[in-house]
Amino acid sequence: MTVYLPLIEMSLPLGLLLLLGAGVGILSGLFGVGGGFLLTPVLILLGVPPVMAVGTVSAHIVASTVPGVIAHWKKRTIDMDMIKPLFLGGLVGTLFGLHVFQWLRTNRLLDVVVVGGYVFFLGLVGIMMLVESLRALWKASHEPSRPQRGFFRQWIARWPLQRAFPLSRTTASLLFILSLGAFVSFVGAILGLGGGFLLMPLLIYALSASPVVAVGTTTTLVLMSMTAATFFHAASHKSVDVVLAFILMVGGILGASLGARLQRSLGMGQGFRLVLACLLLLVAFRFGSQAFITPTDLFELRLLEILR
Amino acid sequence: MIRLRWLAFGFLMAAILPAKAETLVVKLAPQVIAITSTFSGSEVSVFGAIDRDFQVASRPGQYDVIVAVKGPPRRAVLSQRVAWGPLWLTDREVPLLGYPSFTHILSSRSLETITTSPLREKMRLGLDQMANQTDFSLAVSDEVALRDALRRLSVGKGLWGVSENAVGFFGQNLFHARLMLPSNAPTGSYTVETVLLADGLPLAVDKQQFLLNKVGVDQALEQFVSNKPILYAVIVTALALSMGWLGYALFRRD
Repeated sequence: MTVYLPLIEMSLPLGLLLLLGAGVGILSGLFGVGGGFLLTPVLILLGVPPVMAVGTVSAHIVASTVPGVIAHWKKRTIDMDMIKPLFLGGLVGTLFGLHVFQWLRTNRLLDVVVVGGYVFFLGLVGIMMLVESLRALWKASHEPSRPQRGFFRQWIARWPLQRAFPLSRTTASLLFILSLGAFVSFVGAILGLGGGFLLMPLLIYALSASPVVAVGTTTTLVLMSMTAATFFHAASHKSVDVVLAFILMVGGILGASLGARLQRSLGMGQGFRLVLACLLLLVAFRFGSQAFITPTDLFELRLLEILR
Repeated sequence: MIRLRWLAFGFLMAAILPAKAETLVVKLAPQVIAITSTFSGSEVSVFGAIDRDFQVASRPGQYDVIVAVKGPPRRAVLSQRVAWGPLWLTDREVPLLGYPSFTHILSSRSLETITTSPLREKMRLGLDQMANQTDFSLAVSDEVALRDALRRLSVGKGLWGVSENAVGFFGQNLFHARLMLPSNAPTGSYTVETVLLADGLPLAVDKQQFLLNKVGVDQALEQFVSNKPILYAVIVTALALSMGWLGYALFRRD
């Protein structure tokens, strides 16, 4: 059974959309990432115009992160001290990112940067997580893994304005947190992502923050920025299709609750990080190969909006 | 432009035909197609009758009919990927002018047999003619390759098509054709031009219209989004937040 999406002006199979929403919901319940990195490319692959895909996905991310945020709020696993500088930096990063986005578009560099950005960031984070979780699995549980003081960690420990974040069980420079928020939002604005997949591992690996608090903090920040993004997309570009968003949300809340249940019964085990790492690498590979493989048709035809 | 062309065509016919021996009566069914939430394409039937003036001697040859369906004009862009080192990236975008968004030609026999070459050019009867009469908004050096791609992609998307032998006669003076509209057909007003021919010469022309429109909830939604974008944004954002809360309330752990 297909359903007609009134603002996108095409029909897609209902079951497929529900399944898609559920799959991404499970991810957000498990890892605290929004899942935009997965959902947006798949919708584009199904024929949804990129602008509509990015706008509608932002609404779906809002719905699928709310339950996680409420749960983390009740468990007090959201580091509000960290959210404030992250959000502040995020505002600056988003504004700057949107300007760079426009500049890249007028100079025809957007495609290179988007493809390169997806491959680089998804690949980097994926490989990092893969190595860490494989190493942890190898060592098994009898040998407690010591956080290693790498070059990067020593370097950020020297940044000024160091302060303690007791909930995250870490100490970090306020300046570093601000830049982290700015960097993640900057990348997110250019690549059309929530940026959760970048922030969460950075908090865990670079700052050795407590994993549960890192997930809670990331989810909350993703919810805040995606709520703003949804409003902006819907108001200025009319690029949120309410029918598609609703269907994805129904699948999403079912998936998110399943994901949260899975996480509760199995914990934030290394196995899950391994799965997420593989997923990130898979998407990175798809983007990369798409750019390297000689296309079957060098041309593409797009119909634009109705003449009014 | 198209209207002018038809005017010229009318004059041409008036000059050729001293007395109008045949007239066309064409009826479309349905005349309004509603896009509902389960829309997955539709079908339009073209019924036609040929009214003959019996004081004029009957023709030795057989009648032929061409039905040309044209959709609402849309802006379109043709883009091309070019090798950039080992990478394949979109290199340029060529906006199209006067792109016939949806053009399907149905005919009773092969277009080559029943029409003359000048008529095919004039009425854009054929995929090559459609591709050749689309204008590029920039100067291009590789026009042939672009027109070839335009033709291939438009046909691939189901937007352009030529179906010979798709107009069927029953009896001598009645005919019927069936047009399939895909689910991605552009919304708006479509024109259906029916041409009656004999021995390669046009005898009569008829022009009808049908509408492909959103109705009910879908139409109301589109108007609401256009008229009150801020309110729409507030509602969509509130919907997303409350759906999330609903998800929490339904599946929370007690």
